[in-house]
Amino acid sequence: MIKREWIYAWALLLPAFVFLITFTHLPAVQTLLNSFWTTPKGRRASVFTGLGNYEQMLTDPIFIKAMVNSAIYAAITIPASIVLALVMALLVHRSFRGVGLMRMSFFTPTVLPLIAVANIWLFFYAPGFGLIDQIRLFFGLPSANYAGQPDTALYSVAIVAIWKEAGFFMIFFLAALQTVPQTLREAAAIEGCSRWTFFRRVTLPLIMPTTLFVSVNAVINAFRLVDHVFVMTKGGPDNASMLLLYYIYETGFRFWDTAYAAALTVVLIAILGVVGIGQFFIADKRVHYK
Amino acid sequence: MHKSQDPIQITSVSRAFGETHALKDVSVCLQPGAFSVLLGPSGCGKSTLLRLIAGLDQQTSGTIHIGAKEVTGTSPNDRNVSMVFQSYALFPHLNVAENILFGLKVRKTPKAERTQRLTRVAEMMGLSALLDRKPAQLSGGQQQRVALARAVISERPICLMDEPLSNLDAKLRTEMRVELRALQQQLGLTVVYVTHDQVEAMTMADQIIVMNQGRIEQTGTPHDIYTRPATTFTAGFIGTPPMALFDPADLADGPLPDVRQPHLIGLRAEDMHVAPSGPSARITGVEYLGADRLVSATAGQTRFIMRMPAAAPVPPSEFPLGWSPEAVSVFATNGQRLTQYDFPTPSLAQKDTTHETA
Repeated sequence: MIKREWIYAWALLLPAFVFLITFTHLPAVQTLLNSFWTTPKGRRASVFTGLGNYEQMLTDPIFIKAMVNSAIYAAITIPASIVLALVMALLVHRSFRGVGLMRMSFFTPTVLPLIAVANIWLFFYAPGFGLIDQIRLFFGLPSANYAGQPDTALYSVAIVAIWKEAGFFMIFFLAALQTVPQTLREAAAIEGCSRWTFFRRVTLPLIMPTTLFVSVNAVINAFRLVDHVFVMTKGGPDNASMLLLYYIYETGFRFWDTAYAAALTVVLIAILGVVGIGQFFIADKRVHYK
Repeated sequence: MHKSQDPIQITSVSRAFGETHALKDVSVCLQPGAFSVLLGPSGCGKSTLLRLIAGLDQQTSGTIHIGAKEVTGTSPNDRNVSMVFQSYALFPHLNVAENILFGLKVRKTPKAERTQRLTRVAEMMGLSALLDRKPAQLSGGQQQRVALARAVISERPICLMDEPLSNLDAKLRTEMRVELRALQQQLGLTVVYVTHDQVEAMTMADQIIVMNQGRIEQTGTPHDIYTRPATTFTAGFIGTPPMALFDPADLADGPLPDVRQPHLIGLRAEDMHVAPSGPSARITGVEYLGADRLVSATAGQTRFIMRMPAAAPVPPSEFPLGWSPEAVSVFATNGQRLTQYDFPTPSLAQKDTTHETA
């Protein structure tokens, strides 16, 4: 009887397994294997190079540029979007006239597709007639092309990501803030606790599980969300806004150097894995779960 | 330290939430060093009044003085009160010691003094072994003690308590009643205690303030309130079973005062008995409680409950009802007690001995 139940169980799980293995596990393993071989060309079949592709990275100036850019991009977008999300959540975590409208407007960027968001921001950045340039010209400042200049392109892409993500994280913080009981606030008020002290000593520790969850997501998104780069800068000018994932796309699907792209992918996954697991191990000790 | 000479004087205080009036023109003086209980059914405004005293809410009109100082509009901290919440309001991420010390840390009390006060209070409340635990690792009774310890360590003279025992089981509640009263006496605290449980009020209070629908019905010692309820509401709210209210016609030819206006006669369950002669009553049910028997009966149109010792024989289904004439309460039809018909009992003139221990 037991054996028969097992057959049913496997039969029911089989369709899910087939799709999961075909589209997730096999490609992942294949990617890892491909990264040790050269890219097959018309005249020359693929040959085993061992760590050849990885050695190539060390001397690849665009890869190094992409790594540096990704690090800067993550260092800006992760803390900025989390802090902004928390500030917005605190702003709308009370009742006043129009709070619903305010919550909705904070959340709207989340609903929009990133491609559309990038197009909106292209208009903001557009030199000459864009929103930012109109303000600059009004104050008598010269026209500026933020998305089109090497020294500002990366930051203008980062701002779009922050704008897009903060609203989404706000929802989590808002939900977390609403689980902090009102009586704790009152008990602290009786003791003469200022609002800032209460926030620092009670609210922040109590919403730590959410902060951890949000920060893991922010890290993943910092490497994963590159749609707006396609629309706004295509990694340029002069690779100024080149991010790791965008570089993988370019290598793999524009230059068709699939083996090198596979090696880059392995690096990206390794980075995400280490950072994500590290966050949990380090932060977990300091997080109070109910 | 704890001892306070400052009474809490509440004068014509009202609190409206939009159209609803939680408190209507309430005036009362809460004596320093006394255990005052705000007692009433849900929604009577007792918690609102406590929150106004604490400064967690602001009255719509009227004034509150603590001592000579008017506290209207001042922050909770400036009122020098401590508070124990029904939910205990312990910080879940802090351990017992940090919870107790929270206020002292916020107010930047020196570390040496903090440690010293913590040791003393933890010992007094029996929490010394639990200082490293988180609130989630404590039982309800232990959490309650931590909440109390947090109030005690502040050494503030006034302690406000909002139904602090209502989340405990019956046995623990009985123990904590005794402990709370002892703690208040030992520290000379001015306690303002909100409850809907009349047993808590009767056993702990120096002064009970009975509230109903945003108004004060009566203020007095537990003995006063039980034996001489000022209104029919108090008569019906205090006492288990509540005071029976008779139409005088149903008690005709009993020992009644001569009242020349429409009125009601109030009698406590234990002040009635089976008499050799008197108005006739008919039994509708008998409840056996161990020491006592509660006899439900009707006299004329009035239903009432009479308490008799379990050792006494169950009365026949029709019996003549008797009562002690000095126990009679007379109420006007508007519900107010007619004090001119109170029987002058010497016992009431004596000092209140409700909580005298030895």
